[in-house]
Amino acid sequence: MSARLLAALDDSAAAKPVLATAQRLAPMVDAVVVAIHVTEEPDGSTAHALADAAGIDLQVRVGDVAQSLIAAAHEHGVRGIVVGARRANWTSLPAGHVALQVAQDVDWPVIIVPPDAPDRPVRRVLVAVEGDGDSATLEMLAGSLHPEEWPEIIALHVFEPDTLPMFADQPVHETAAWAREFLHRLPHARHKHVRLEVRIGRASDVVREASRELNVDMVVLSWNHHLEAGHAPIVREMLASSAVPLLLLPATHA
Amino acid sequence: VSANEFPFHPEMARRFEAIVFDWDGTAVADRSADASDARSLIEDLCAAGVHIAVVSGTHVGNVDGQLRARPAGPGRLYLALNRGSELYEVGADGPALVARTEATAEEDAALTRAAEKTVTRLSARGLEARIVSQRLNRRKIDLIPEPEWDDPPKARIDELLIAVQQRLHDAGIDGLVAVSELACEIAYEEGLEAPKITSDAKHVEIGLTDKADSARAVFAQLWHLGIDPELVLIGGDEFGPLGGMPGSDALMLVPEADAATVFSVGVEPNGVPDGVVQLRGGPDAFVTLLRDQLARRADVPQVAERAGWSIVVDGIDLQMERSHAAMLTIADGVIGTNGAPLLDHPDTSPEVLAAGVYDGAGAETDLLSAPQWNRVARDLTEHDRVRRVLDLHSAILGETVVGDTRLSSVRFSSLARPGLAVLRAHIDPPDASPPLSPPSHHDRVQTDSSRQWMVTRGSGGAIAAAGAQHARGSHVDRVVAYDRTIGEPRFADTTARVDRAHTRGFDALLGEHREKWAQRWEHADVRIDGDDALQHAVRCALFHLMSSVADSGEAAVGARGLTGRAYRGHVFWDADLFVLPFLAATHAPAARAMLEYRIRRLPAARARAKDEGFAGARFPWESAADGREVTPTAGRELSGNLVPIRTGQNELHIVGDIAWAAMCYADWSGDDRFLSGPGLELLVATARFWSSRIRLDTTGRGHLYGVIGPDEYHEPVDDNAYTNALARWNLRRAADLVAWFGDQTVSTEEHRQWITLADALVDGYRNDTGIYEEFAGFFTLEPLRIADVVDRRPIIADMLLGRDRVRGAQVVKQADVLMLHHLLPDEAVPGSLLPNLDYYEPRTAHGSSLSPGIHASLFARAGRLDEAVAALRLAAMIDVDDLTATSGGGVHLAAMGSVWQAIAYGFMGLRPRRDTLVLDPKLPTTWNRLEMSVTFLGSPLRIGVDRDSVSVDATTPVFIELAGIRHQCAASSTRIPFAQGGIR
Repeated sequence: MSARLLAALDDSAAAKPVLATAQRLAPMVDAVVVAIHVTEEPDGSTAHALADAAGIDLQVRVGDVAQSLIAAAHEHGVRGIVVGARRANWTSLPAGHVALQVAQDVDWPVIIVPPDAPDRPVRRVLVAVEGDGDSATLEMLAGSLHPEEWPEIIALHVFEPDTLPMFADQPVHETAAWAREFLHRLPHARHKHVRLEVRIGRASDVVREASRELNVDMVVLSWNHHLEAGHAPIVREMLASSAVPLLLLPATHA
Repeated sequence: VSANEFPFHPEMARRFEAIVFDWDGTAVADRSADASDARSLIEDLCAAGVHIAVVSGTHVGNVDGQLRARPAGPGRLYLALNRGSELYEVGADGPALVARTEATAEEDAALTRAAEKTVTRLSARGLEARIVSQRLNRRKIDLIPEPEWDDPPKARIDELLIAVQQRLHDAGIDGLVAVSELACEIAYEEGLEAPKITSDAKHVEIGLTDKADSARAVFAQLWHLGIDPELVLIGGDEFGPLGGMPGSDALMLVPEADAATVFSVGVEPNGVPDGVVQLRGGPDAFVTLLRDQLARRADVPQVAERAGWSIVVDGIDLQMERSHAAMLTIADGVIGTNGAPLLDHPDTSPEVLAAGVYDGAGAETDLLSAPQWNRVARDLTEHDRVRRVLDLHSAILGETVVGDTRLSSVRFSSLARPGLAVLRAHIDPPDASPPLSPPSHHDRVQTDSSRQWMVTRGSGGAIAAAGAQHARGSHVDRVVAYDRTIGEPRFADTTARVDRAHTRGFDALLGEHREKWAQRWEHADVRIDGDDALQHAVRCALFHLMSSVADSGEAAVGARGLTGRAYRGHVFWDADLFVLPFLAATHAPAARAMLEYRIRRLPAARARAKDEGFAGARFPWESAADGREVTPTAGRELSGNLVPIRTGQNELHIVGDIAWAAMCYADWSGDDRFLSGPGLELLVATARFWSSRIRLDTTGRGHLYGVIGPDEYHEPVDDNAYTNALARWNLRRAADLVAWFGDQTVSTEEHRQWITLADALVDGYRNDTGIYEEFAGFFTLEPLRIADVVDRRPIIADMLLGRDRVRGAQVVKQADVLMLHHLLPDEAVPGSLLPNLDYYEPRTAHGSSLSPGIHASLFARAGRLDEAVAALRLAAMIDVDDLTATSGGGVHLAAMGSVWQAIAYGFMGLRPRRDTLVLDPKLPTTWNRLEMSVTFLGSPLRIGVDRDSVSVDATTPVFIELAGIRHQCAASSTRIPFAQGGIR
């Protein structure tokens, strides 16, 4: 039986990009899409229409949306959950509460899709990688990708003032040397020609700007399920501002 | 007894590289015994590369007369005789004296008096004793002059001992110890400073030397042959105490022999000391042991692990593997092979590079990958445990694997035959890999019955390789020869080299390689007593400096030497200013080869100067195959921004740097032939460039507009102090040389113009403050002291604060004005080091790996020793600790050169000045002693500094200046005490 990717379809405009994203990602992670619609009152015309159009069965559940999604994910043993990021401009939360609750409560990768996500294939992915050789995010992503379905991966390393290197003897040679060594420390990157981009600045700003400048189709971040103030500034920033789907990989996810 | 049956202790069941043994009682039963078995085995062992040293109290006639071995090498045969007073080396023509200690007339008379007085005192106690011989440096007193004990065999040692003790007891003397103490006391009374009293039970000897001196002399010889004590067997028959005295052979166990394996074949009635393997069995056992060692010559030699002398890497750590492989690089100046494991593993990147062979054009020019000689076509599995040990003293890399594969191996890149790589391996299951692995699948390997050969071609040359191997079962002996060519390679030459090497055999190749490296270290080592971590890091630096540079032909030394591909193998000022001084002072031919690289590219430098409308020669900032500029003109910096690169256009000081390197070589080596020939040509061509590049203003002052100094944060600038001072020096030195040697091409007018321009050139020095302005306008920039605004340095300040901010501020990348004080101390205003160090250092980000070492040197000269040691440690650890996370692309050779310069120019305060070597030593409180070897005007010197004196060991007389006083040091050891108060 194939692995499953759970696509959570609501009745909003976000449902369409959620399903589209799930359908694009499924072959990349060697999974099939399971579409689900959870509602507190029976309804679901948008979701049904989308699922019908895609030729996918829609499972409908009634109850608390986040709790039902989590329960369904457990039942199906999914590989990941795709949810919409319904942003409300009257709250300080960086994304809709369903998306946040699901993301915080499960140990699977969660893909949060903004309602205005562009309708295009996932060909170029930006992965924010940590310090020297701490490449867990990239490794996790690489480990879950189907070998023949790799997108172009851009690893983004951000130097903050505390982590700037000591020396850059001849900056162009040094950058090339540093990048080569960095990538050599990433076993998957080495074999799959991951491209390294290096930036200097506040990481949350840099990731946001780079995702636009580099015209990526998805951003991948790892996190520890904490979104309280002072935690995960990059995740918070990207939840609030990303124009493309955001893949959150739990740091504990193996 | 056959070797197989002999019950060897496990410690002895391995291959040793040298055997040191006592003669009488160990190798032969007595002086009349037939030594033919030992003789033929010793000759065979020497032929197989084993070094042999016979230690005996007797004279050369006795030992050589009995042994009569005439080995033909490559292993050496030494006779350390006359109880530590003589050392011979035996060749095909018999023994030749290497060294002899000779008593002065006073010492000789004192020995005689002491012996006579001892006999008289013993006689007074009722013991008849007799002086039996007056040998070199000693007197031998027979305690039992009775016919029965005239010449007792060693096998009767216990009976002899009982008889002697009985005799002493009868005379009321409390054993041999009492006799020895008496003899010693009398020897002191007679004026001997350090009498050596020994006893073999029958005799007591009073002498100036003993077997310990023999052992020290032998181990010193072995060290000079590249043999670590760990690879040495010491044999004797009397290690255990005898009559309360230590056994005579125990004297051989000197500290210099610490790691040797020791065995006794003697009766040893009182047992043996800890650590000595007791075999018993006498000379028969000894001969069996020699036979066993001969049989083990096909084994893989052990690689010594000595603190301060080795790099050990256990396992493969993905995060560190590439930097480890770079640090484990073995190179001979022609080819460099990184220390990636022999077996394949996805986390490793094996690489062979050939110095100066490039591919590609312009900024894309890169080192060409060479065929690999070090591959075993098998994968390392998760069960395999890899261990690599690099012995820095002999540049041999050992690698073992335990797991699915069992491997023991050694490999080296022959310093005796640069461009020849050698591997011996035992690999199980056996391996059938060919000697050569092509760098890409496009390259075709050709094979005949006995060897393989191939060529890889790049736009800037080709690398030809030929390999041969002898493989039987699990055993592999492999040799691969490399040649670098500009045109079509001549395979006949390469294959002939590999055939010769193959015929010579592994052991001979190993021996000559070890010896060459030991010689290099002998003339280059730095010893820091009191800081083991720094000592080790310094050795790592010297190792890579020595191995990266060829000493014949031309040497293109890239920024990472032969240890990695970073910086594309391009040649920067790193080579001329940072690497070359170490070689000029320790192995001048290598420095000469580096200069040859520049001299052969003078035509390209002349053509460029002409193209740009200047005279003379303009060398490129980045150089590769043909001497044209290969600096990129744009590229991404660490911020990700695409930026223009102006160094190739504006960093002019490279022209003067190369002239400085030529003079540095000449100052250390005294090579007048170079100086009056290619050196003069280089100085004239560079002076001409400066004279055409300098512009005079309306007041007649000279300027260099639009340059970049070492502080590349500010570009371009006018009148960079370092560049101007260097150009001024360049003009003056060229004028001096032309005046001295004469040069038809330089007219009187041109000569005069150089001097005029040099005098006119501004250097930014301010009389009121004593500070040089780094460039015109520097003092008007934002007065930002980087030390005050960051909590750590080094830091790449332009990335931290932004390029524009840094460009407008007094933030300096690396030593710039201070480079003038470092390189041209006589060109700087006297007394200006301190104010400029105080001013510029806090403004320096040290954002270049070249900066800390230079500052260490300057701090040391300024007497700020804590800061000096901290900066030195930082420079020394850049690759040892992979501080940049880029050592995987190769080690920072220039920073390594700066480490040596900090020690030589800074802490030791060395400066060659015509026929005199000036010393101004500074010893940090945490160091007990600093010692370094250099060669000045052809004279190898060892200079040592401790708290109260300087010592100079020379082989020819040399002038040393210390604290303004010139001393003529004789061809021996000279100690010059510091004036009152000891060292500053």
